[in-house]
Amino acid sequence: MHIPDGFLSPQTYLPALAIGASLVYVGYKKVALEVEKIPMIAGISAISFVMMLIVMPFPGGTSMHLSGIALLALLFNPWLSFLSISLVLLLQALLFGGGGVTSYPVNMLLLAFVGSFSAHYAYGIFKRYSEKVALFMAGWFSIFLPSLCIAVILGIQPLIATSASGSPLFFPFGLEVTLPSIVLPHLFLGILEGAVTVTLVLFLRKRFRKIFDV
Amino acid sequence: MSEKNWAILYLISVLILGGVHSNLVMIVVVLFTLAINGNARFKILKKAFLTLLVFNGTITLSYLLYSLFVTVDLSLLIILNLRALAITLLTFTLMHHINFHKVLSFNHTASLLYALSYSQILLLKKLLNDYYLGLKSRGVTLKKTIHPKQLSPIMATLFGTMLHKSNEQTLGLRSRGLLDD
Repeated sequence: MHIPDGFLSPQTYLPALAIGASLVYVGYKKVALEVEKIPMIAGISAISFVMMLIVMPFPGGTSMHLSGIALLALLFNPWLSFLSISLVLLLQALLFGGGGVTSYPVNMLLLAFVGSFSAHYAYGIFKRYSEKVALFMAGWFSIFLPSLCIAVILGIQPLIATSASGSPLFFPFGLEVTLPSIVLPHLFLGILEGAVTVTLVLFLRKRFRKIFDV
Repeated sequence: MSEKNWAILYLISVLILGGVHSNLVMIVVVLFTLAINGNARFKILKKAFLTLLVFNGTITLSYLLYSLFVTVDLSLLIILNLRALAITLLTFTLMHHINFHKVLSFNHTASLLYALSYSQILLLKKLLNDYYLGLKSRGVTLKKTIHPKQLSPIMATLFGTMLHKSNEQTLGLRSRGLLDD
């Protein structure tokens, strides 16, 4: 789902950098790390890193992969998940070129922030029906909403950054291409992410009860 | 020049490249990165090409297909890919020449989190490889079906080992006074 380098205009990533930095500051102030949980947080972040590296490129301007974001958001909390995934994305951009450096602020906001909080709120909304349904929907939304936001951000590039002749300067396709080509495959990928989230959250909570104090 | 200053210079260069629309500037940056990388230049170039192939290749291909039916500006493709190549080469060059851990030394928490996450990624990579080899040596491979009943103990052991190793790392950091509790 990462947006690579060269696709986004400075009009997009510079404001995103300012918002992202502010959110990291807020998150840093909000999160109190308990020493007993650090190994598990680091471990799940590493799992998320591996999940995100198994990518399938898609013509709409991005790639498809599982994320593990809902896993972190549900097992710990969305702010911690946001900070962890932001770090994971930074490492991917710097070490593997996965997602670009210029597009990092946008990837951080849409994947880490929107992904973590959509999982958190979806879980809260659907919990009244069933625990498993809530976990599944959290995983599904953590993929669907970021993909929708990414499709919109990419799709508006030809509108906000054009040359004097009117041709696009960055990502060339509009919303009519990005919305179907990015969002539709992610509707199905969300089902897989939902299933992985249900399985792993239940498994980890049961097997490592001491850590999660459930 | 210190690691931090290299990183600042890199960030300024990336920001400038992001807003410049000149093929010549991109080519100069590509040649510059190749020139300063010595023996590692082809390794870095290959890594950058592979990255671009995965992430930018599909866009380039779909735009080329699109151009068969509608008139499109193909020069955009050249600048888009050159810019991505220049930025990716700059990133890999920076990571090849500096210790990123030192760049984050201005903030203890950021530096610690980076060290912990990076070491955890390396640990998981080694752990998964060892685990796969262990399963393979016992005749269990991805080609053969693992019974659902076998999956739970396999996963429990894998997570347990990961957690144990991660705990060891945390204790190591605490014993050296790097973790404040």
